[in-house]
Amino acid sequence: MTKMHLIARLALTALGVLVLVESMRYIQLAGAMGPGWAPSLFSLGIFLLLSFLACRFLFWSDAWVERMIGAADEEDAPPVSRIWAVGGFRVVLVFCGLVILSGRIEILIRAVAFIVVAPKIIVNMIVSKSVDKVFYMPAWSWIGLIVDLAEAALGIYLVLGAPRFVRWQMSKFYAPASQDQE
Amino acid sequence: MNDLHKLARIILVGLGIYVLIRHTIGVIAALPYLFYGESPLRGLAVGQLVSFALFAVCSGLVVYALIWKADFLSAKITGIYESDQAEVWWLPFAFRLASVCAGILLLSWSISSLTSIIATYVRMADPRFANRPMPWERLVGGIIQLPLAIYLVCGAPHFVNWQVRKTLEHCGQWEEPDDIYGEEE
Repeated sequence: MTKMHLIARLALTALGVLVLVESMRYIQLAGAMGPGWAPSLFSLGIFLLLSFLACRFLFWSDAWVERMIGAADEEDAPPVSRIWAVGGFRVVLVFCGLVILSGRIEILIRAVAFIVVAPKIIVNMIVSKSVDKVFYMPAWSWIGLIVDLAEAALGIYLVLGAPRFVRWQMSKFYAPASQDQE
Repeated sequence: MNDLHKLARIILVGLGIYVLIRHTIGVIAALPYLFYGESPLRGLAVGQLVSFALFAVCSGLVVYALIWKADFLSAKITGIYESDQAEVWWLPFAFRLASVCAGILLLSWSISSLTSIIATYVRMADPRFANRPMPWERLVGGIIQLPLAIYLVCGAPHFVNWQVRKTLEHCGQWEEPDDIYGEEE
């Protein structure tokens, strides 16, 4: 992987993450739509389209990178070292994660508060054999909550450096780190 | 001024312009509410004015720091990692730059959030709006955002060191901290 390939791949990765987060808003919107299935279906369609684009940016971007850089120009360029590639991916993903997580602080606080009170609620539900009123929410509220939690989880994973994703990206271009050292 | 310093400065100034545009538009969009919204009530109008003044002062300070005093911040981001002492010399710089940029964005959001919280409390002082309490998670979130933003703007030293260590571990190049961080440790 040359320097230009790496830069293009990093740009597409950042774009993929941001498009993925944007797509999640549309599934929230699909759940919150009023009567009638057409607006919800429309939002769901946008969600599917954006998700597909995000997956292309994140996982199947090879053809786009080749087209952006031009294979002929990069034939003589020296490949970048593994540390540059890993560092570049981690920096970009950590930045995206920090930005995503910054906007989800409230949902994290709610999640922590729920984890604190959850044992008591569950015990009460088992004793009284009834569902607690906390769980009585309209379906679209549940969808919104799940999407918020998914976004927060994505943010945390990215802030941790998305190790599996980076390892997968690296496995396409470099031998495992242990073999590098040998 | 070396290349890293220049790069950091360019990014900070760009971010400063973004924050300036965002906050200016925010203030302009909110002006009609100040004059034609719930302003007939004196308390509300004063509260909103105080909130706007605070918002403007904080935004002004952020923009001043980012556009006119960007050298100070960029020098802080560049830190001691200026020389090509190893293949990894750029890693702490890149992570620190990412954390400072994220911190500035979070600071910008937290200013909006805090002024909104203050405005809500001022509004709640009026008996007509006292029955509209603010969600507690919004209040706690707003309070947590500010120190978190300041930590990130300060370069998040522990976080950056941890990320650098993890990256080097990933590449199988992790060595004793003295070799990586040099005089800082």
